[in-house]
Amino acid sequence: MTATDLERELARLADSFDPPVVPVSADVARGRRRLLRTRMTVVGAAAATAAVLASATLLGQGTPQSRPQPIDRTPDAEQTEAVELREPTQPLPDLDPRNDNAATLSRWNDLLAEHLDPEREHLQPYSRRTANSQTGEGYLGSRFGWTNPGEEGLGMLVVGVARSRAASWDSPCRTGQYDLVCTVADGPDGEWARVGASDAVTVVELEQADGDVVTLTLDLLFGNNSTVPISGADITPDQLLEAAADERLDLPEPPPVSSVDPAGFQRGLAELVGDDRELVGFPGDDATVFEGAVYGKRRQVASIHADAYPVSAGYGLPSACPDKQYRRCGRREVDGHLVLVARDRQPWFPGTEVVFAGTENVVRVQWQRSGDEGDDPELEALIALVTDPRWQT
Amino acid sequence: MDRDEEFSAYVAQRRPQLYRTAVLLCGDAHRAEDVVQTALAKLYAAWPRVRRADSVDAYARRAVVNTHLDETRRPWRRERSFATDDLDRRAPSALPVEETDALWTALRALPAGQRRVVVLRHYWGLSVEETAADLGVSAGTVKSQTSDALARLRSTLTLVDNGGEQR
Repeated sequence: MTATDLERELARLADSFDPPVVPVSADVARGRRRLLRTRMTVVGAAAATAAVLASATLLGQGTPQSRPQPIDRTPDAEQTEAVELREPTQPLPDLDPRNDNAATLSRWNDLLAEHLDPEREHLQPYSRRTANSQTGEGYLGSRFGWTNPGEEGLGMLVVGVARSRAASWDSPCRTGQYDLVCTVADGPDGEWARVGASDAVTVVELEQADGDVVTLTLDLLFGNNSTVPISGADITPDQLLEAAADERLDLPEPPPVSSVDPAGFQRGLAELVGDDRELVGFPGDDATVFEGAVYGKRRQVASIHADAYPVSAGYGLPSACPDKQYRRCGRREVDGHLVLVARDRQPWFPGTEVVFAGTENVVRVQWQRSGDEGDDPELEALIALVTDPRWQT
Repeated sequence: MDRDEEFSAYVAQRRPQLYRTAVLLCGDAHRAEDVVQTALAKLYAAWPRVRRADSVDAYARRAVVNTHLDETRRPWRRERSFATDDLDRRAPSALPVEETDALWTALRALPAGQRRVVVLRHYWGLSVEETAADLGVSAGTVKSQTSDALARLRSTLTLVDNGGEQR
């Protein structure tokens, strides 16, 4: 058995396990309970600390001749930070390079029309508002409206392109979304493919010569955007297979990769984290220079995401303090280049984000506190890390 | 969309695949469902951060693998043999049941660590480095475990083909 055989057989074996029917609401409820527990732990710890401090204060006040209070040498972050953090006054552009797939999806829409609806009587043009695009690791997908002239109903054509079969999550042949049984078929040029069909849905999944896997699903009801299905769609599985085999249905180029050395950056982060805590990395996407977590003695105390991309890519600055989502924001210039600092994006980002637009690369670090043992890094050290000249060579 | 809507949409799409991953890891339908429930609860709690970092799939996958790892570390939940009847399975569309049973038997006979490596590398299609990062082990460990696992699988499947008693 070769590795390729194993991959294929494992996929087929896994497809044979029927997932139990579990309402999504049950998963949401369990998630909420877990989130509540986490927050209660944080609040409880904070309350306990406050109670101890309050007791100490009361005891101190109750003493007729209070002893001199010890000087609190704990640095006040707000007072010692050279960057003045305050309420954000103006939004900065949010130009995340990984978010702009509109051009690719619009191109796919035109290609699919070329194969399936050259007269443009059924397939609606790509619309950012209704497309419900999905992205993931090596995956991009979208939904396009499909109508019949004179009918009120709305169906949809779902397209997904994945870099491999493993990344082809959205294929209903895998997810069991429509309770379809897909059978192996040949594409127009003998490509590996699968086809499934029911009264309301037709699905094809096809592996192109370069390994990209294209999934096309024609559903008579666009469930997200309508409650009325169309009466039918005169499209055969073979037509869908032919469209799926079009190699112009390809994934967009990944974002340009910066010259920042991930290993060097991780060493810099490790110094920032200190010897008493452990830095653990996870895999990230092409723009990621570090993705991981900081562990204290036994618990995770922070999550870190760091990314970078070349200034020459023309994306501009990423989103420090967009739309007043952060409680406090600040800025500074280092050698004539801008450093943006944001603190405590509420309610979901208790932590610090620092962005530096250098001569060669834009470098960003997001440090998110975890639980009651979490803390922010020393801001000057974080700024020193992102502005390190080594990331600008 | 808010957290509940986004999370619900994601779960509706991905839950079957996460469940299948968990079954391959656990070899037990009930434990697999427990693992998926726990992993999805973790995902919900971390959703805004994970969503913003555009790493939902990676987080969900790691949550399933780590939850399975946690489960196997508990003494009362250590790996044990189980009946195939525990699983609610349908016959795959294009493969003889005997053949998948053979692979299933062989896969379950692997030590849990090797099974994790096989699932991440050959079901998820991760690279050696990505698998190492997910499992928190070295690339060398992943390579050696992959090699050992493939050798064991070949050996078990050969015995099955020859009418051996491994099944």
